[in-house]
Amino acid sequence: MPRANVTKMEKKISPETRGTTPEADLLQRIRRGDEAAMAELYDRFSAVVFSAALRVLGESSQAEDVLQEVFLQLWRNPSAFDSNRGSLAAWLAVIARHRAIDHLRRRRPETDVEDVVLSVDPGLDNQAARAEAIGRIRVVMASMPDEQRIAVEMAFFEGLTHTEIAEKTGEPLGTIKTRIRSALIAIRKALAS
Amino acid sequence: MNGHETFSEDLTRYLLGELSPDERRSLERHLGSCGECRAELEKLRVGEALLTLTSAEAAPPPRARARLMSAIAREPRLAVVHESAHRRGWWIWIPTAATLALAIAVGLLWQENADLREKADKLATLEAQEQLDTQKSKEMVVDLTAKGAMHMNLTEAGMPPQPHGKATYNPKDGGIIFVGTNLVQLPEGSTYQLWIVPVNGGKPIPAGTFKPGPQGTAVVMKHDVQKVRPRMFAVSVEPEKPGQHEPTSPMVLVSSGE
Repeated sequence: MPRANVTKMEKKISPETRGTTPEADLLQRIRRGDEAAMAELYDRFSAVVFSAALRVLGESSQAEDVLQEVFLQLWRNPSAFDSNRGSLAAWLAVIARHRAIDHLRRRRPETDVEDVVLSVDPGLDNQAARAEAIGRIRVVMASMPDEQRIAVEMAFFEGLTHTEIAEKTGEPLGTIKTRIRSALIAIRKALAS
Repeated sequence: MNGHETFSEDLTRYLLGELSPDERRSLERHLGSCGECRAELEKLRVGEALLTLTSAEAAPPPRARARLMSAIAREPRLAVVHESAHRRGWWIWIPTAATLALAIAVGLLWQENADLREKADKLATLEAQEQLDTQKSKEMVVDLTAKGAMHMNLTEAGMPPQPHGKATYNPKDGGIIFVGTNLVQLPEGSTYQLWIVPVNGGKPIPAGTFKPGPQGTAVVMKHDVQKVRPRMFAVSVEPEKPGQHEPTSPMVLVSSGE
């Protein structure tokens, strides 16, 4: 995958390219009830979903439950993902993380899948491009101060609220907000330049 | 610290679902009129997605695939029927204040049902179900638009009638119908402006201007509104001039549904 495909992560998809990606075709077939298309989609993205859930839950059987839940939701409502814009891999990963945190907190799902809309380059649906992008994000993460990286990990993968993080670390709430916000901006910037 | 800074600081808490319902509504109202916060939220969403992708890719056990395929094999038709049923439920429960909007929305759904039938022509059972739905939709349209049909608003006893609006929007073709009741009359040079606030945090989309009649009622019907996935609908009071693309005053009506 050419590097150009991963350098602009907030690309809007032009109408000319709509419906032409392999993912859009798969989703179209899934809308018609094509189980083979669902199997193909699963083969391409199950690791992304499973990994995001596993990172939060830390336990394979629970991560498997989230995996099942996410793909079943997509099967029942494939229109929830707007294939005209954004990366399916990124969308699935975010949904999986949300669901995993719901499991962790033993609460009902708080985010409707249709509410998750991301302007992330669909080029990331290609595994090689995704691997390259992930490498660059990890470099950014590694360059962050430990306390910032830990705050991000607690918020996004341990399911702690900002207030809980502030209590746990003994830092002011405002500091936690700033650390998490600036970390996300830095990550986005790393791939937008 | 002003309101904007407070809202801006809470965007990551919003992203993580940490805000109370009241806090979330306030922030979404602010997002409707603050382009800076919308742009910031969009950046944070992208950062969140990229961060989530950094989880080391681990393959699930093979049994997970078999489990999923077995589950979907048990409900392939249910999936499609469920979607159709969901749409039926959506309009059945719309309150009477939006009867006009409902009648037109039913027509839109009827068209959608027709499209669905065409795609699912191999599924005879589903097709029969869709035909039944269509017939029911036709009957509902006839009932709702009948000359003698009565449309009444109910409010709490003893309370003065409150301004109220009902928006029905089809994001697939950009059609919107808005019915406002008990609206306050505006001074000369001002107009109500209907907005659609997209779910992605983008700028509010203008969806028509209107002025209430003597009874405080207004209807907006447009078929060329930008197609977006809406987070909320809102109405503001704006100067009466063409080309109003951003709200310049606080919203006076906002949708409460999520």
